[in-house]
Amino acid sequence: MASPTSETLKIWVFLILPLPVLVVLGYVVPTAGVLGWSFTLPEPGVQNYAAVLEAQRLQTVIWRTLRICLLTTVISVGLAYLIAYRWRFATPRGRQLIELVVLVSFWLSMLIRAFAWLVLLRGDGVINQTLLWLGLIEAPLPLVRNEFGAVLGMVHFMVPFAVLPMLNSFREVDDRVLNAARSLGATPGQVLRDIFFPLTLPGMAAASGIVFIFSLGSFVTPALLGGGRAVMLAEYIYLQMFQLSNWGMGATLAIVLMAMVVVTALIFGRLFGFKNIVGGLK
Amino acid sequence: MTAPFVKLDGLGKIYGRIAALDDVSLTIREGEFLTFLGPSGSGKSTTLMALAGFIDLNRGRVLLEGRDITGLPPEKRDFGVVFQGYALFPHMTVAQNVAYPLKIRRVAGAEADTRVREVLERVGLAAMADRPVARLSGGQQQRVALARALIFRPKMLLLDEPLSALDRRLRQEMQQELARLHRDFGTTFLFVTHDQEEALALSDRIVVFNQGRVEQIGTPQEVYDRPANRFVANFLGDMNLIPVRAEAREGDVTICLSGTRRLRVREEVAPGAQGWLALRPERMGLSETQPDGNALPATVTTITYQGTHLILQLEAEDGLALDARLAVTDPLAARLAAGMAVWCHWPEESGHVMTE
Ligand SMILES: Nc1ncnc2c1ncn2[C@@H]1O[C@H](COP(=O)(O)OP(=O)(O)OP(=O)(O)O)[C@@H](O)[C@H]1O
Ligand SMILES: [Mg+2]
Repeated sequence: MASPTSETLKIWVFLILPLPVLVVLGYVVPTAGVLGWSFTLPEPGVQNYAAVLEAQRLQTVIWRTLRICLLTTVISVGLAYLIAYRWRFATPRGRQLIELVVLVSFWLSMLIRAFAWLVLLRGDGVINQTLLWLGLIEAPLPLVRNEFGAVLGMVHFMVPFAVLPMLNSFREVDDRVLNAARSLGATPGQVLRDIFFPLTLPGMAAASGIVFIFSLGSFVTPALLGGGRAVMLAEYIYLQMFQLSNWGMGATLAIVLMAMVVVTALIFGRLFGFKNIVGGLK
Repeated sequence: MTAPFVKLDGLGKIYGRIAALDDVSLTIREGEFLTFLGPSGSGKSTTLMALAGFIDLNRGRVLLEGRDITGLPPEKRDFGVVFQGYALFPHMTVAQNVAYPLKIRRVAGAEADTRVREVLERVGLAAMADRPVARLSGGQQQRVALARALIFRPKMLLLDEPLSALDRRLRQEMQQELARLHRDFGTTFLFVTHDQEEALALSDRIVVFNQGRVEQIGTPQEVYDRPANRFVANFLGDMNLIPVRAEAREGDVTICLSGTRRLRVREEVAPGAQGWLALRPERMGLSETQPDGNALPATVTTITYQGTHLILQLEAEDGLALDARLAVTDPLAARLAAGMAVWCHWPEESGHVMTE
């Protein structure tokens, strides 16, 4: 290959330059601004961070956020594992069908999905009315506007995000390796426990990391399905900033949320390798 | 009469429109080294996998010591399998791979350790026990796969082209290793290959496959020297095929006619039968004057020097092409030249008539 002329070099510089500029304008500057607010509003000092450590109200929100995210992660990754497992051992047609179902729910707007759940789960919603009519319950079950509703909606939202990174590691498990285990005396259950599960663990770890990190920032789904009783960090930040005009506290919690994301990413990266987490996305 | 060790009875397997197996029947003797030989796609692996229990057959039965095991799942058959590509467990060390069948059988502790060490010693991997299998060479992975399949003392060891991924030298080394393991363990070995030299060198008996059928079963000498048909004859190496018609019997010799030439074979062939006289190139001698016995006049067309021997192409009467293999030490070798007229001759016990 010929060495690049100064002309093509100029073009390259011109093409690459916008990237660092965008990163600086889009991420570094705003983040620095938010960080600044957290230390300066309403007055300079660390009182916002002190409040995070002390105020019961804030800690409740943070713990609730972690709890909901953990629950969401465990349930969605569990469901996704079952889906990916079916996909791995399906015929080519079966695989296409599963991919389609997963992708369709991926493409549906978050809002539409949340409202659909509302229609199903409300006190006068389809599920409760059916159960009442059947005489199985005497009063409507509290299925929505609480943590249960929030977790349900978030799981529904997150399952496709968990399935996609798993498919790769599921696909890579060689049939012959599984058959070898059978020929050595292992039942299908033992093959799953001793061979298939350990070999798909990296994919599952990648999925867990992705789902947990995405869940931390959830806003629309818990806001609509939690109905004010499952307020998570993102919604709380929104309330602080836009309802109470408490910009300093909002900014501080935004930094806390970001720190949680970074720490989670670091932990998963440490345990399972960043390549696995990122590679799982392909 | 006792039931044969393993009997495959009319196996049939259809994939879409392809008959991968079309009526495969054969018996396996306990303790033998049996080889499935045949071209790509001839049904060797399918038969092996049916035997191992991984394939739902459309037709036929698999019998083990007289017991029908056709529908039995693989883990209940107690056959060791070495897969193409070895299929080691990538998340385990050498020792963990080898110990897995023991773990499944709840053999643990000191006994398991001893057995793992023993079998690793037998395949020459004692020093590698704690290595992850991903960091082994092809030959070493092969040995792990063998150790893992032999440690639980299977009724039979099934090997699907275990040597095909190795380079030539390692391959020869592993061939000897396989022969040694077969002697040591006394286990029945069922070996798949499409390399005829490998099959001839290792086997007690060879099953020749073609298009989902068994063409011939026999000892290496039988399939090499007395092929059942043209396919087997050509698959096992170069073969001269001379069109003949059986004329008459004379004691244990049959006299055949090729054109006007009378050729004698020490075989029983029904007079009147049409067929081919098969003769390996290395069994054919050359001379400048007409010898007694079987002989055909021919002209040398090309000579290829191969170090220890010469490969000659000749043209006999009626345009019949013949190949000969002449040792370079043969007195004639130095005088041969293209265009030279010679006599091809062979003893009557070297020829074999195929009427199929
Ligand atoms: N799972 C399958 N689906 C469709 N066709 C198959 C399948 N397995 C084997 N076949 C076909 O069955 C025929 C026999 O295949 P098989 O693998 O037994 O051949 P083989 O003798 O082992 O060949 P090779 O030397 O290439 O391994 C081939 O035509 C093959 O394409
Ligand atoms: Mg094969």
